[in-house]
Amino acid sequence: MTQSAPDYFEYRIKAGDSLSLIMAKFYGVGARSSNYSVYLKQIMALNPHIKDPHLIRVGSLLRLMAVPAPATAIQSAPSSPIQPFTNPFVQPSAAMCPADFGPESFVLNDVPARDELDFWMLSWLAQNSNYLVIPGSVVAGTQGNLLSGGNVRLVEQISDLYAEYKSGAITKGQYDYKRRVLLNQFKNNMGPIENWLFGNKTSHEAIRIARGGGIPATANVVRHADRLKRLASYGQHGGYVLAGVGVAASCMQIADEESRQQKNEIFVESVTSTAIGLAAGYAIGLFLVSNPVGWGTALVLAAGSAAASYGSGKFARKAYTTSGSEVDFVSGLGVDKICR
Amino acid sequence: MSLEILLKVFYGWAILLTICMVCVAATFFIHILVPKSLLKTYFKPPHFSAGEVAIFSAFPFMFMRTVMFMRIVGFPNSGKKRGLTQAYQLAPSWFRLVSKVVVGVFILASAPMFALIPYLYFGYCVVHGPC
Repeated sequence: MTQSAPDYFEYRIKAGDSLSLIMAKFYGVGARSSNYSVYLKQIMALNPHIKDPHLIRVGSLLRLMAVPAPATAIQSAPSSPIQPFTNPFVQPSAAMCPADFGPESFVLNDVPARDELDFWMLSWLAQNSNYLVIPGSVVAGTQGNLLSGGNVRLVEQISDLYAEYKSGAITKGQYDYKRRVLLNQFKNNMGPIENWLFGNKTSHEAIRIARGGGIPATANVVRHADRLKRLASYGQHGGYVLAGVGVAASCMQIADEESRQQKNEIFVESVTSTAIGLAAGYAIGLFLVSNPVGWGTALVLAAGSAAASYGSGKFARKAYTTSGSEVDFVSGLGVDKICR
Repeated sequence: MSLEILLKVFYGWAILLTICMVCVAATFFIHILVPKSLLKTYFKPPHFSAGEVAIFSAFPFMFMRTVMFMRIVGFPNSGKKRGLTQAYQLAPSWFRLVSKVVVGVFILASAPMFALIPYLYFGYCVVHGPC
């Protein structure tokens, strides 16, 4: 099959880019140029996934005409359909175009294929962090805190008990009883995440003395204690990481948006949801001290405060949009100088 | 309902939210000033379950622990169920006073703040059409 020269090339949108800037950069067309709208239409036709020329996302790909048609020609047939391209610079491959994260037919010219998935995932995370950060913080915090030193120590004590039993300090019956007490306490502390930790097994089934030869009798117990410590370290840092991701992602979203309106909407949503979340957490703390609750109620409270936080942010954004958006928080507070 | 009334209510709500945030910020600072003896004596079973101790020991829930102890110290009767009515004796007087003021102000500001959220939402729907 004969392949003709490519009619377009692809450009990865960078932070701070706008369509005006890109057109000026590649075609030398300024925003006040008489051909501006013609070039804009041509780009929009090449990129049907862009609905609003003021909203382009950092990291997504933009098709640009390799040789733009003369302005007059375009003006004469502005709505003519764009011919399908048969020969892009690089043939797309499945590995380079993860369907879940990017347009199917787009290819990247400046990112190695092995980094492509990471790139799309990070871009997706930046745009959708709100859906992850709140529940993620709860999960990571809960996991890390439940697996803190006190609980891991309960598991480690089983090894000590076994050593006492073997040395004759305690009887078999005493060992069995104490082991059961420790595991019951561990099981109660873990609550519903016990299943997650040990699959279908209970704590009593999973944390057992090894009967096979060739390994120390306490190998299972030590292995589980080490695993719990490792998971705990992930969880304890996870809270900080997710909090950092939340702030950074909001900042990135503000930086990526072109219009002042959009920047302010994101700012209002982020600030309101954070503030309501903090206030809800505070109120829950005051409530819990006089009303000790079980796992079920604790989860309902956590989910309720997360939902209130999320909903308030969305509502605040909508209210800001429809109320005229008179106050420019982003410029006034200098957020745009930090997030750029 | 007019837009003017709704706006006035919203400004009032924003002030209440700001007051709440000041209390939250103050608590972040107070967190490092909570008497160690108080935690050492009372932040353990039987007053708190092992699970609670684990949860409220690290970020981000450690700040909720501070809020809990501020309430116990500022309002000792609130600790009846956990057997913490005498806990305030381990806190210096300045901590008791600060706790009482910060928690009291937060409760006074947050109650109407949370109560106004549904009012604002439905008021907004009335003024701007179906939400």
